[in-house]
Amino acid sequence: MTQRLLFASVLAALWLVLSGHFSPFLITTLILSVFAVMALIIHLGLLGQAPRPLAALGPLLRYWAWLALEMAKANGAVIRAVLQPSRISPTMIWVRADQESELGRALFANSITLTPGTITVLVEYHHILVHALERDGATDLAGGRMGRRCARIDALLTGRTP
Amino acid sequence: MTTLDYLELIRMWAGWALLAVGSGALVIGAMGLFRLPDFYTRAHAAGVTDTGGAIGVLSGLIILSPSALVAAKLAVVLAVLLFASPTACHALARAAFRSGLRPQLDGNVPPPARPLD
Amino acid sequence: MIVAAAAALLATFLVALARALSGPTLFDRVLSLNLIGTKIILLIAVLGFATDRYDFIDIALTYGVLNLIGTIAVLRYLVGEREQAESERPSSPPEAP
Repeated sequence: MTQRLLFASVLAALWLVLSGHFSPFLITTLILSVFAVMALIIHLGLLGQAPRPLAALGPLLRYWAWLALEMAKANGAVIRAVLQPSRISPTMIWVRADQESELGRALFANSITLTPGTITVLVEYHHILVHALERDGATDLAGGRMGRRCARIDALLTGRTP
Repeated sequence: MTTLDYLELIRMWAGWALLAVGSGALVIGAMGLFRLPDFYTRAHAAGVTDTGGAIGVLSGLIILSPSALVAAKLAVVLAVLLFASPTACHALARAAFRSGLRPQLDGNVPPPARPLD
Repeated sequence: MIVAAAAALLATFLVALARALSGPTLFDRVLSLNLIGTKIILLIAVLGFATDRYDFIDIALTYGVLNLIGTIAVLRYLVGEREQAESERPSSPPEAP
């Protein structure tokens, strides 16, 4: 239930941001369209299994702040590699994805691709094949700091103990 | 000049600096498309454009934006980009790998096999 | 300054277009097209600021959503049916009964 309310309020906020008007007519269409979209999503079963979405909100925001910092560092590394292409050492490794839910694994795989210098090539069950531009990036990922952070958020979302 | 004027000036400079950083990342990402040797390494250069370039340019515009509504819209655009671009990049890499394009790895080793367990 | 950002975007546009034309593999071309899409989004937003027409940002947002769908559609179409059949396997092992 919390999840549905949260999703509906995100939809409403998106509507308000994109329209920027608060006339009665537009508020009415907002309510109607949010209800229509929610009915459609629930009917199609598109809302995943996350019984406690609010518990993960704070850690998720902190994770994104940390990810932004990692992205800045990784951007610097790739920019150096582009300026000196002889330095690159392309590597592929399999990284364990210990996240229980598919959402957690999607978060992890997307974070890997989002940081420049590492790309998720294949996702098979609990293993992710990663292509890294430099060997340092691969060893960093195999160290598992990002994976552990994602697993913690995943555990909070699904209500399991990590 | 009053304090408010100074704040306005600082805001303008901060926005322009972010725009410049973003443009620099865009240019270097484009250079990487030609300087790096194979498809997979070039995808990393594309990642610089998708993250460094997009975050730099859009957050610069967010700081320069005249109203909160415009800033919020730009933030939505940035969020959509940050969710969509890794998905597209992964789809590309996966399609390339599955259709048999093999990366040139350091030391000419083949890609590792999936660990059993 | 905003004009300089637009100029940088246009210049990188041409570079990506050159990579799209020169290949060598199909995936390089699709990668370049995806990059051009990202740059179009940024260019629309930047031009909206340069000309004081902030409603351009809505167009940029639409383009951002379409860009992802377009890339994936092109990949699905080009890589073919074998790939599609494989990708419909479940992504986690089946639950034990």
